[in-house]
Amino acid sequence: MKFQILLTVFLGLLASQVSAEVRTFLGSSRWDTTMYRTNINTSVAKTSYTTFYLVEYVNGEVVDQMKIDAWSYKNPATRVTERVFLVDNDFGIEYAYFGNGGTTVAGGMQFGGIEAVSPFRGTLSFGDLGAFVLNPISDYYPFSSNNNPSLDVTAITGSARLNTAFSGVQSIAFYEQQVKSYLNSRGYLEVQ
Amino acid sequence: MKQRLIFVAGFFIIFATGLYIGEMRANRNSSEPNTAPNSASNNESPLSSEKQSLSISVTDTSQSPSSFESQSSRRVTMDLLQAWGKPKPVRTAELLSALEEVTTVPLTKELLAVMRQILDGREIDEVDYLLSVLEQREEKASVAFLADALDHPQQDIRDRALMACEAVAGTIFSDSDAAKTWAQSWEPNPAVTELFSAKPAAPETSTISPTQVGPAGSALRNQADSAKLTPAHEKQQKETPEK
Repeated sequence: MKFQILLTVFLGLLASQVSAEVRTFLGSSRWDTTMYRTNINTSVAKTSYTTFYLVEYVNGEVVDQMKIDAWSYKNPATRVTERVFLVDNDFGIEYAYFGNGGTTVAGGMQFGGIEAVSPFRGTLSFGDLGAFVLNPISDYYPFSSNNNPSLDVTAITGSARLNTAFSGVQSIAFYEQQVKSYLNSRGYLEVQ
Repeated sequence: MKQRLIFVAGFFIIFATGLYIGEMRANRNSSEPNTAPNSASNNESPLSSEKQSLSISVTDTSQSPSSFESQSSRRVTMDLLQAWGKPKPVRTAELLSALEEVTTVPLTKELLAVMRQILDGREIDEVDYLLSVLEQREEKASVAFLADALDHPQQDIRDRALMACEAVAGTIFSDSDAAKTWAQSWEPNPAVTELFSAKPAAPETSTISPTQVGPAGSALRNQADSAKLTPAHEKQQKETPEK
């Protein structure tokens, strides 16, 4: 019993030495896409999303990240505008990949599922990234040809700013729920 | 359709006249900063026969754009107008392409008027894209436009405008009134202004390389469909094996 108490205290002290925080950037992403349908002409189009970028840091190092995209679309069957969002857990950020420090940082973002490396440039605010611009990328990932339709993302651009409402010293799971609750309150449903 | 063409043609004539007069004034007063408030009443817009309830009051404290910058705004405005005059869905596709340039060109009265028309067109894809590019600006004119959209008759547009205000503000608002209050006193961050207006540098080829090149260049153009991902498409995306 005493050992368990000591172990709990020890682990608690150990955890308290780890400084974790989440920074969420809210903005928009705009995609250039090519959609392929078997035996039908392809479609080249542009779409836009409200995008949340959640980045978790421990002692200043990125340890986890995710992206949540929200959008509205007109349901072709009902012709009613619906709102949905998708949690992209595979979103990876290496914002210091080729960073220069000073007032400008630059890096790449890997979007899960489409393998699109998106370079961005940002501005430091008090030592942390405050905002960034997504430059158009030149990376593609054509979806499996067995899919009908399949989608090829040819460029992603956009921008985002640090959002204080979803940033702080909680876990990324906590802020993920916060963002989800926020989107639910605005009428968005999660895509499963 | 015929009525639409007549309205567009009429606007072209008025616009061209305005450009000519503007050029004459610009040549005469090219160094005079424009501090007069720019306001536009929707009732005077010749673009649409629908009654418009939006009004925009913008105080432009910056110097008037240079001749080159004005030309770029005019070009974008003309591109938007040309796209607007086409039937859907071609209109949407060309409009979105032209809107991408709105991220950096000066927001002139004519450009704001055309964007207001897009807002009143109530096509969610077009409005979504418009507000997205406006989010990528850090100036009072774009924030004023977003704040004005908070009173749009269509709920979807009001809600999207609220999220756009939140993206610029870097916080969440309890309601649109809070966003309007914020917009009245908001001032641009010079560092963000510089960041968002800067053209991207040449890509660092040594660190970022495409993993796979798609055949987009040879794809046929069929703009009858929107590529907005539906939940069905997203499911396929998740099921696709990665890497």
